[in-house]
Amino acid sequence: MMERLLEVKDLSISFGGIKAVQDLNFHIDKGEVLALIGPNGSGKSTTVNMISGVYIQNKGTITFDGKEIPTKMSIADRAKLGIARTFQTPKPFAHLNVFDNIYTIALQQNSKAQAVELTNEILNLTKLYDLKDTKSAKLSIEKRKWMDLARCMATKPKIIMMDEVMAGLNPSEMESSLDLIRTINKEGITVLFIEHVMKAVVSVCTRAIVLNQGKLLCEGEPRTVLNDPQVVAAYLGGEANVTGN
Amino acid sequence: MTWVFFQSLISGVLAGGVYALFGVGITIIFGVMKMVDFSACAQLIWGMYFTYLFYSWTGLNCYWAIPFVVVCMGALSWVIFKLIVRPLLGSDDTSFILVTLGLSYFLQNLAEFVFGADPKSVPSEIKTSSIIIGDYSIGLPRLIAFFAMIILVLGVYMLLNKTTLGRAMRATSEKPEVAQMLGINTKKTFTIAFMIGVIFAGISGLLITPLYYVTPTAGNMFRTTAYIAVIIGGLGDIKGALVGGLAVGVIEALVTGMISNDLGPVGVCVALLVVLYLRPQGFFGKGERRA
Amino acid sequence: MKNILSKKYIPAYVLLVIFLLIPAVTTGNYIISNLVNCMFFAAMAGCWNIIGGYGGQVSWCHASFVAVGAYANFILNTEFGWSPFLTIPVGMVIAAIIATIVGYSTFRLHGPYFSIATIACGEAIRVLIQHFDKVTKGAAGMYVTYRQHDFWLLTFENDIPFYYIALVLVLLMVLVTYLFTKSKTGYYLSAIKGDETAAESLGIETFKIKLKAFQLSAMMAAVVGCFYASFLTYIAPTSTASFDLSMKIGVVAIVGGVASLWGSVIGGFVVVLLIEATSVLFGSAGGSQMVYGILLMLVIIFKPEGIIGFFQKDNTVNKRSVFRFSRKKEGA
Repeated sequence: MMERLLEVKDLSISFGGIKAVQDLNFHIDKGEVLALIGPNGSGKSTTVNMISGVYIQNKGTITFDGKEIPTKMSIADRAKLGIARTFQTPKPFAHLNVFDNIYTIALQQNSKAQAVELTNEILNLTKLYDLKDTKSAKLSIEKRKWMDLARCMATKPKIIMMDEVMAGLNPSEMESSLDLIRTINKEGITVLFIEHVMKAVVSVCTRAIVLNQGKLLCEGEPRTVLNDPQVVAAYLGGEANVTGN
Repeated sequence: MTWVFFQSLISGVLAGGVYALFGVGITIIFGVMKMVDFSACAQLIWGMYFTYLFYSWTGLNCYWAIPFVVVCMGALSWVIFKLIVRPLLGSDDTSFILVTLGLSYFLQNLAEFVFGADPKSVPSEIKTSSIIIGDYSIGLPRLIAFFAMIILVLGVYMLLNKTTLGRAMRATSEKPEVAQMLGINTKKTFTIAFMIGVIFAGISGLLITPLYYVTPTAGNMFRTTAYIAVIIGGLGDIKGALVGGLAVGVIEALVTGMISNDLGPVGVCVALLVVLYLRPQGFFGKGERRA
Repeated sequence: MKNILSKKYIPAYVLLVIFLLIPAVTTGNYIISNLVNCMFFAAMAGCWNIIGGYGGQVSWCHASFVAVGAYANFILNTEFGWSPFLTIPVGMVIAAIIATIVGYSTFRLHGPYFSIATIACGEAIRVLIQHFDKVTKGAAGMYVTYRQHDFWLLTFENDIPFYYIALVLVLLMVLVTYLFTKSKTGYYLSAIKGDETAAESLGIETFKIKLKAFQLSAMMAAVVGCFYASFLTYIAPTSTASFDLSMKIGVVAIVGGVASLWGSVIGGFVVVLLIEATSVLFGSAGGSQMVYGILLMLVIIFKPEGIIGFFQKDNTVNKRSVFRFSRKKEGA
């Protein structure tokens, strides 16, 4: 059996009486690419926000790398443990160029010289090297998303939670982004992949869990999960159609 | 000592009434536009000067000047909105803070330029009259200001909750993009919210003319206390501005009466820092709070 | 730093030499004292720039820090005969404590809270200075009388020594700012200004970094305040600790150009000289003060990057992102 990196037990949170996530249980193994899918408002982003510390859960525990995360631990401290995340809308440090965006984050655990080295390494890995002097405000959506991932890499994370990295990309951009995610995964980084684009899920994920109305609907191999009648019903038969490819 | 306490409490509540009225103006602008108008205290001064102008032309009691002040402040706010606020819509809130501070500095010094720095007064028969209840005295102008505040705040509350325009304003406040999609003219709601805010500042100025001399620096005491009142109550909430205004008025009066008559602003500042530390979103704020 | 002799620095050296020589070729104190004023404002604006420009946290209580330095100087000097130089650390420590108190309750929040709290705090400090009139002489203010030309006591028969002191202060301010922007804290602060939520999610302790920057900025302002007081020879709560002074410091920095090394310096000269000119034309009350307000509005609406924007070739900066900090808390 593989080693568990992240385990979530009985996680619940409600906002003003609405139960956004209810008694959620799941785990991620080291090196895995796990998809977290579900219709809009099913609690995917809320779950990520609880793991990264933006929201504090009302109930339940989050265990990371064998240790339970205290609810009061700050967002920054969780990041230092190795929990990285991206946002639905990319958040570049717009006034800095691509190099400085990554270098700033790389400085945290390194001396200046080491940080330069690490930054260059990441730039090469994420194929952003040619853009390193471009102001990040001028990047295309695709490259902004890549830069968000590159910045995550600079924290030397154990897991990256990717919140809809495929949204707004055209098919060829999607293909290259999927390559990037595979590359990141090959570096030994576990990926929690939150996505609406099912083609992408099937293509990179080893396992998928489906949320609906804040509850776990089902779990398993992506293709099987997506053909589950329950899941199809939750999506109203719309987006979950993967047989088209 | 108990006499001082209760007398301070009474005058605090009454002074708080003006802060509340002034604060409601700021909070409406913030509620709808998500921006803090730092020029409100300069608008208040202009409210005072318009009242003074009305008095010097007609010789009538300051309360007769209300329609005149409303019209003048309405016109002023419209010009400000067109020239300064509109170009900045959609930009970040720091720019807005800076531009309104610049405006405030401009308006205040313009008043000094036009009317001179020497204090003017608007005499009226009720200026010194007060109601005596037992050992305590209540200044009549403050009492009138307090009730005017209650009437105006109730009016705004009704406007926001009972009319179509109010619903449009609340929708804009919650989700501007969605409101726009639903066919609400957000620019119009912004204009109206801004005008209401400025008119409230002007009326506050009018209501305090019997209490203070009309000078270009008369608004300075509001620069700190009234904004603190709004934050303590919770930015963007009308109940909050009301409660915050009264709370700040009372704190200021108590510190002034019980500790030292010049330390009022320090007491208010300490109250602000304590509230921000313990309850960052204020009493009624919906929580810009970080988890 | 290696190519300090390279060709592109030649204009800078020429400018420096001109500045060093100005006192030798001017007659009369009027020009010199105006230039000293410019440089003091440039230095204060530079301090403001650390937190207001590089950090995007707009402070309106820098006059308080200046006043802390100024009063530390005058009180210790008149009561105990300390040299102003010895009072600098005292002013710095007090300024840092005030900055910590204000920052502690507001840096957890986004939005206008910090600005409003600084206004309130500036007002409170002015009132406190006025209140403790036994040591501060209250509203009457304090002054130092000229006895003899003495560097150690910072009393001079004309303003030329202050000219060089102010010049050194400006250069020091630029140097400290440069070192700060190249330090780790400087990089983190820059990230926070870019996007606070993202910075935090990437491990940057936003609260601590903002607090550090604010403390540094406050301490620098106290140092400038110490020398500024000796230059003025008279300080009072309504002038040295006033909101007006805080406002002017901010306006100088913003008009010159925020988050740039030399913006505040340019701002100092342009704004102070412009105000001097208008006050000669319209009188010092009202008329000339309006100019601050007008300048601030014009710059924010038309040229958010400030005057320095005219000199920079790199105009890729998004105009509307000069003061940007994330307004909404966006969890997702």
